[in-house]
Amino acid sequence: MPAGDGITDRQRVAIEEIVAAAEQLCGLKFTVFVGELSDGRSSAESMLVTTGGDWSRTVLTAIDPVSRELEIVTGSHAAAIIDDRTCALAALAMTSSFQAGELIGGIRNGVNLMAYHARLPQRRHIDTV
Amino acid sequence: MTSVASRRIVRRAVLGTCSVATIALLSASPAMAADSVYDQHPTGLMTPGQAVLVFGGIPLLVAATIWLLVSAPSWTRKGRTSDAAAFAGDALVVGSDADMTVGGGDFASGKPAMDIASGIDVPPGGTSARW
Repeated sequence: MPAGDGITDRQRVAIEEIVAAAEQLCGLKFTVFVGELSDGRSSAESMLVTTGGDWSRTVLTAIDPVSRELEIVTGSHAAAIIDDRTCALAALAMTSSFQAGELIGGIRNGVNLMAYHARLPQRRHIDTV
Repeated sequence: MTSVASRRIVRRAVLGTCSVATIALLSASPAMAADSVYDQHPTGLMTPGQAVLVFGGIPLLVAATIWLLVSAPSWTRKGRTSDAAAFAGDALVVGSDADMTVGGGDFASGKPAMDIASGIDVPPGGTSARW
């Protein structure tokens, strides 16, 4: 991404694909915000409420590339599935990529990690009784 | 006793004859090559300058070619810049039903509409990180 530009269309499509794949994998709702977080954590928490729909099943990943800040906020239902330790692990994966300048790669790593953690267990057999 | 000694003598004679014949053939083979390159260059295959060019120039040429093949693709693309550090554009929201504004609230600024936010405790789940 050239300096001074925002997210390109190609990157936006990539993020949309990441979010769609994660939602399909685990059934939770993922939202990615890339922009300024004026009040840090409280801004991200307020965003979660404004996502609309059933925000209790929403996982919001808010990234402020300018202030180098990452906030992951989970709704009440989502928090029961994706605990804080998983969020911390996802945050670590994301910040590692961000440090290398990979914004999209970091989002992919973090969102995929949380989605795989929250995915429904595969049914190995079907009871015939 | 005599027969054993005579056998040894015969065996040694045969081995000696074969060895001499082999050495003679091997040593005579360059002479048999009438059009050998050695005959065409009586003073040697190459001059010192040619040797320097061959043993120094060719490896340098190969190394330069490899370096060019490795480096050339990056010259054709834009310089690698940090996505995260270079961000200075509009906010992006992906995966939200709220789009950018919901019920009078402003998603990007994190200011929810009062009717949505009132009475709702924001869950504590999640984490914060910096890089």
